Amino acid sequence: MAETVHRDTIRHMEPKSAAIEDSAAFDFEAAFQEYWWRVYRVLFRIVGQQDEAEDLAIETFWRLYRHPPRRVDNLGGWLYRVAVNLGFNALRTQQRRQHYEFEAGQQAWQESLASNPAAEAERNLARDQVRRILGRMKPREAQLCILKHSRCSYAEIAAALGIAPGSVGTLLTRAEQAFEQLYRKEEEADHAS
Amino acid sequence: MHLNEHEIRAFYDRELGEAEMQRINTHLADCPSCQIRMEAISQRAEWVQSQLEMLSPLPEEPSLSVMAARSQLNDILIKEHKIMFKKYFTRQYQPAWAALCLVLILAVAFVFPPVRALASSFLGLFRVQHIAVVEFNPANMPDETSMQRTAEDFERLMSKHVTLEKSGEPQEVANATEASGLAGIQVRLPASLADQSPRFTYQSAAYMKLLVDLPSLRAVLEAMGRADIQLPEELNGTTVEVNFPASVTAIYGQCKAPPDPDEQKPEMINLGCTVLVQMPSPTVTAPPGIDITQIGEAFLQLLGLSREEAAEFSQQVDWSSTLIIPIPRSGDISYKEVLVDGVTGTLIQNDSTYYPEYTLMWIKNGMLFALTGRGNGREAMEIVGSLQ
Repeated sequence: MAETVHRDTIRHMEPKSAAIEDSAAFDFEAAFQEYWWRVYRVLFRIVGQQDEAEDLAIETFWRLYRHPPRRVDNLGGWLYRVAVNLGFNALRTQQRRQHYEFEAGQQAWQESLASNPAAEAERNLARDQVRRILGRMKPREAQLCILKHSRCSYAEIAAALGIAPGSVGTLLTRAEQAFEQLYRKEEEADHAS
Repeated sequence: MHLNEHEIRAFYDRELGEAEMQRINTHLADCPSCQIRMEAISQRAEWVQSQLEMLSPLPEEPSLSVMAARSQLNDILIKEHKIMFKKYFTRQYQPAWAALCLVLILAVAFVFPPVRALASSFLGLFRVQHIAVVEFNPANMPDETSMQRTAEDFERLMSKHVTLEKSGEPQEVANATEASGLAGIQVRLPASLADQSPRFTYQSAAYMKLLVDLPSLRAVLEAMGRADIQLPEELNGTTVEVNFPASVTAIYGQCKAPPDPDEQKPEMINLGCTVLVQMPSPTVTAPPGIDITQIGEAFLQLLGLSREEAAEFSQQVDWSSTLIIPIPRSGDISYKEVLVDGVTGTLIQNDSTYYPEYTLMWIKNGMLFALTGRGNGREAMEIVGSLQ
């Protein structure tokens, strides 16, 4: 039986990848409008820099466009999953680079601290510390904390991280414990030095 | 029975149903040890939240608006369209629909949305009998900004007038005989590859219909700065139909699916994979009385040829039966005409990938063949030479 397929725009006439042929129908534009800010904010929290967060957010939606999920029962969850993965990968790269630059005594890093007004510098230091801790946690635990903080529901968190909804509470509590422990260790190390 | 960790936390986060919340509330009222645990967990949760709160962007920290972000994404997608034609040749494993449809629609239509749509509006082929290649320089095409502006208008325009019908996805079939039966054609296979135990897929026929709205088309051309390109008046309000008959695809060797987007390193797709697609030549139904040559020349001009060059090329081509494949001028992609299977075919060589790859297309006795694989022309010719 021939079935008529009306495509909305001409770009649908070209076969992009097999995925778009058998993925569920959803409205990309509506999804973009609905989720853009939340995705951007999650990424900003993770990487701490506006440009980078924007790039990663755009990449998240690029993936939605080019390689959409087969099922869209939890589009938010899918988007968050992609976003936190991208974000934490970027964070680790950032921290490796910062660690290296710091160890090598790069002037730039020192100078950028000096050129910021005091309040901003202090805020940046505090942010750096939190992100450092996140970078040291187990990936899934860090992602749990960030997603919860970004006001995701248990259902969204479960979908994003591929865990059972009934485990979110327990895993979240443990993740926060890990955060606290790492924080204490840092404080002790600071006081010792 | 004390509360477990999940219950305590979910209660704190209000992630439980009414009944559950009630139950736990009641329990907490009477259970000091659970109260203490709740206290500890909620305090830590609040503290962690306040730490993480420092990460949030402040109102005064500027960032992209949704519209600006959407437009940036669009820029990227359009840029990708531009290199998609080149990318096509690296896709070794394709269901017959994607492969041949891509060849016909994309090859006749292509890199830039306006060109793509315009091309499909005057295919001007009746039954494809020949293939000709036109090289064009992407630099001669309208610049990116004007393309972008008009691309969306054009797409909106075309979307109202284009219908695409296909009856189902390609299906895997057991053998060539079954494929022949389904497609109603006599499938030919290369004997030289027989030892590679081919797999077969069958794609049923598809159909595309286009309603031409000339004033809008002309408006788009004008917006692109190409008001000089003339389209015949008779085209207006006409319907062009393209029929893609059923096709059979034979897949030899190791063909991998497109790469996983999450993988870091680029995948080498072609591990010694050869694909042969065959189908009866597509037919195009266009209203009588149209000056095909004029349309063909308009198309060539759009690709960047001058009016004289377009006229010259046009004279050498029988527009009513020729499939035109535009190839962007690039060092990595070359093409030439070759004698295969007793007819003139077109061999396109792509050296931009890890291994050199070829695509060889020819039409014999009303059947269109496309062979893609790793290597160069010699390998391709040998394979075709062994066709039975």
